[in-house]
Amino acid sequence: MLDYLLPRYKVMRDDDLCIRCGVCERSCSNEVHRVDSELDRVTANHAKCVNCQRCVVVCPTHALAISKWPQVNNGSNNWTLETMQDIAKQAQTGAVLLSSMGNPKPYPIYWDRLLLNASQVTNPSIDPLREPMETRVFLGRRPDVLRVNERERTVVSKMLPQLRLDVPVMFSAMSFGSISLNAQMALAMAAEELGTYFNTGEGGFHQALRKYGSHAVVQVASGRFGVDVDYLNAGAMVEIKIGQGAKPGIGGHLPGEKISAEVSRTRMIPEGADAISPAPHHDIYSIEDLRQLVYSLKEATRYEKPVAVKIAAVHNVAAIASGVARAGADVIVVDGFRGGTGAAPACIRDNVGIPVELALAAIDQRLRDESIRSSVSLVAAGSIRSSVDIVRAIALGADAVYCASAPLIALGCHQCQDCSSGKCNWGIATQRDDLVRRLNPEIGAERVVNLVRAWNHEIQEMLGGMGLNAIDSLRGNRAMLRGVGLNEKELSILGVKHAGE
Amino acid sequence: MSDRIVDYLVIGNSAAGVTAAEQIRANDAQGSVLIVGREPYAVYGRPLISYLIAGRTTREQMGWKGPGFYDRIGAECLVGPDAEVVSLDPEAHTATLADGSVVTYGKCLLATGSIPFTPPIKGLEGRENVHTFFTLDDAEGVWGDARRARQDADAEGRPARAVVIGSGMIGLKAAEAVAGYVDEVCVLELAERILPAVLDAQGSELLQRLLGRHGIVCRPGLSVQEVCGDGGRATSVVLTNGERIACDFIVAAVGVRPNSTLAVEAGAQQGRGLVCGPDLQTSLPDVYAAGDLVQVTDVLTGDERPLALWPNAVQQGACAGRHMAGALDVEPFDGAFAVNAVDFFEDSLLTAGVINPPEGEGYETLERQEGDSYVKFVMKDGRLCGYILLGRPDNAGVYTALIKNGAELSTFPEEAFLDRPLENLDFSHDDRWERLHAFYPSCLDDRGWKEAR
Amino acid sequence: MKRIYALERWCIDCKRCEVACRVFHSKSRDAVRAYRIEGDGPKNRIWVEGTCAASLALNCRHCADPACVQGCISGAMQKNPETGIVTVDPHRCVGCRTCATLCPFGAVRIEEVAGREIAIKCDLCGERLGEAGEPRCVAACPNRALIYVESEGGSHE
Repeated sequence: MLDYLLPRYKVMRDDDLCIRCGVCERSCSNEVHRVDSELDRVTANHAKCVNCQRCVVVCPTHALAISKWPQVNNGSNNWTLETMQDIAKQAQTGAVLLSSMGNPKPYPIYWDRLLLNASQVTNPSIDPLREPMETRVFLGRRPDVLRVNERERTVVSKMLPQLRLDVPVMFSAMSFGSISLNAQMALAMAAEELGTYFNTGEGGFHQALRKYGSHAVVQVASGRFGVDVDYLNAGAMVEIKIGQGAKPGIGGHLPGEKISAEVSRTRMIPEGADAISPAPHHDIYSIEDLRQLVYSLKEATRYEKPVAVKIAAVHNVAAIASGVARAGADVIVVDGFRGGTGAAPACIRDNVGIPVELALAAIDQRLRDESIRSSVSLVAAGSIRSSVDIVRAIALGADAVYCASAPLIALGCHQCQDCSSGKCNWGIATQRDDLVRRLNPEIGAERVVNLVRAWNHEIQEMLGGMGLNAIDSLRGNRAMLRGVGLNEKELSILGVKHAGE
Repeated sequence: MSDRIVDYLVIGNSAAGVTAAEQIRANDAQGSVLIVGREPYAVYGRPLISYLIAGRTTREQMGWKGPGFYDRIGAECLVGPDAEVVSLDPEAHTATLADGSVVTYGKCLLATGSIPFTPPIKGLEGRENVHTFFTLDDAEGVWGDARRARQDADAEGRPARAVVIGSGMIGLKAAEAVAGYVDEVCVLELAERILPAVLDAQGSELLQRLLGRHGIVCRPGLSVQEVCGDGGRATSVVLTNGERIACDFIVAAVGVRPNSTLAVEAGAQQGRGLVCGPDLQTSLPDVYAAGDLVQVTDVLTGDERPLALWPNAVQQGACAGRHMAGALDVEPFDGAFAVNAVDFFEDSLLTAGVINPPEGEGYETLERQEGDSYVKFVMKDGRLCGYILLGRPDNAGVYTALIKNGAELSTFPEEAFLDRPLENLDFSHDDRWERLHAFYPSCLDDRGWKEAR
Repeated sequence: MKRIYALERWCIDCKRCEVACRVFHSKSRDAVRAYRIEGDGPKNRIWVEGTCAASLALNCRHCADPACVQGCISGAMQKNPETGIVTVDPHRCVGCRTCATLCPFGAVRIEEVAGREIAIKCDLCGERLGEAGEPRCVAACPNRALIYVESEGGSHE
């Protein structure tokens, strides 16, 4: 049957500015542009455009912009053009619709409904340019009682292994395979310079990055790719991945064609074979099973490294987190449903899980209620977009945050949601040599360092404004937050008052 | 002019001499330098004379070193017929100039180049419209005759004609230059083909065809038997086959020979040119030589002969100058090979090294003619030792570098010879880095990152 | 002296360097005018070899003892004794191709400019011959495949 899948985007070329230099043609891995010297024009195959905006950025005369395809909707709010295009695609192919990056649907973003406090008259604000302002945090279990030898000024209690973060931000798990080695290297270099951590994801730990091991979190996921005792000991923390915010309840599938020699070596799987991460860990069916794995990993790392457990934010998340804490995790990572992914079925990404703001508040409250909050650190993940989101997350109870999309954007990502094609024009979500080369990790690291440094300055400003001189004082300090436009139930889950109260 | 005493005397005011003076000054800030030259001009780009006639440069822009050069390097320069050195006494360290004055020198450089060879043809001598094509004065003469030929021919309603005797580089450049003025240029060549020294048979044939499009008729295998004329002007030539060709003027360019009489008379050892050591000192004490008059070892064949080429003169001049001034770490001159670049109208002809390899000595060749281009590579023992690039000039220098460095060809893709020009990417990764990253900062790695990373 | 170095591991074959070079060496120094009005007039002095699989930007290395300068019959090609920058004077050059036949890198090319074939090569974007400028190719490179850094030697013969 004749079926026209509409292009999603239209390439707008300002012919007054186009100089036919062909930079766009050479820069587009989707083969959208073509310099037609006979026509003396550059033509575009709009249907192939994914709106990654590489051409927009590299065009020497800024002659390009990408717009939506102009096909008008039929006026129905129900049978939208988008819905009907999805149906047409599936009617053609019979396939699951795949997409990438975070949930794009217009769900409420609670961050944007939470306002920060500032000191006035009764408590002085602090100028971070004049006064010390601590943004360092430690992750890991705290001792139940802290005993100090006052005469010798030493801590007597046995200190458990902890991670020291100079900034309250870490880079979330992105595997070698889902992103390029250069992208990982940029994050690793940035983590080292910033005094924080990147996360290997479940794709193993490439030899070229092992020198950044003291700034790495190594992940153990259901596929156990690349995991051996050297791997576990190569990082500063081990993270068990139970779930991912973008696709709770399902596993992953890296097709064989993406398992290059390098990926194969790093993941310790045959070249060209599909890499399937099962939906569950096949050895974990209970909190007790999880505890076994947590302690196996601690044993393997001689109790020298904290063990984190990452879960997706789902309906029962507070109770689950409580169980995870009791299973011996030193750090709980909760990943909200706006978190990104290299590839996920769109139906899952867009509809499964809950916002991290609610999950975070609920977990923090539950752990406090059960008096086990200090036995575990809490890291919030899933679409942290700015320094303000970090401040809000910490005020809602997080010790620190993980973020990935924002540093990727600093590396050039334009959130086109086409990671799964493997043709990322920015050299991030690809393994194609010619595309990977487009990301010089030195530049990437500088940009990520700039971003996080800027955020950290802003955090210091906001803390100072609130009259706080250490980020520790903000943790779970929900008095510093007020909601706007939220209903009673939302306010109660978030544990914040409404603005004006 | 009064007698004088100098530390360095440079005889010859062209490429080799001037470059030597520059290098002497660079390595000896104090010593007095005197340059003497027969032609009454500051140093100019000698090969530009054909471009001058063709209107592609001007007298002003022909200056090779720009105004104020001699003052800048602190060298005195005497030019003109009076300044010609007529005799040299190496024992006494003196040179006598044409005006009778005597220059006592510490070290002396002979850079008198070559002189055109005048063929023994009946009726050739003493004609005012017969020119050699070697100096600026020659060029002015040819130019004047070319313009006059045009005027006369137009006035008489007949074609203007020039005859060029000899189809070497000089003869053909002269032919190209005057082709813009006259209707027919007849180039006569005693050998069986044109440009015999730098082309092979196939290349000669193609070039002859290309030149034909511009009114230059090459007639290999023929020379002039007799030049005929009325009084001082030649009006026609009789060829060796008996044919008579009318002409408005004649350029005689049958070849050059080393201008080494001065040195030979002073007792210097002469082979096919002056015999010099690796420091370019002649057999005479404190007498050095550089440029066209020096016998050079061809590094590709081992032949000993003069290499009358501009870049070679510059290189030797620099080397001799450094040796004379006693510079530290100066490299010996241990030979060279011929590299020729020339353009005729829109066609370029670039050649280097061995062009016509002798049979049975293990040379291999690759050649291809396509339309108006002809490419030939000559190899021996898996190394490049010569090329012809006629009408395909791209990246010629990269091939020259292969010859110079004796690079093994097995590592290069086959298509990078006949099918397309050789590129830097055709070198191995390490060689490429080595070639393109001279003086690379040691604080950066090959990613351009500071090692601290 | 500061030299431009090409790092092929970061070269992505976009040829923005070529565009920037050509625009800077145009009359108008405006991209649209340079390409659309000046047409074939302006020439770039940096050339990207290869394809996206492997590419490399090439321009003059400003050698310590440049073969192009040695071979120049017109004196147009010179190495500035103070800055070490090798430049060609377009008015004096006659396009004889000797320099291009001697340059081991292919970094000097003969192209038609204003009706004359002359040698074209990198001048480090100096406003005057032999003067260093801010190389536009380096600024245009999106990936630091071209770096402009202080080199270690070779400024003078």
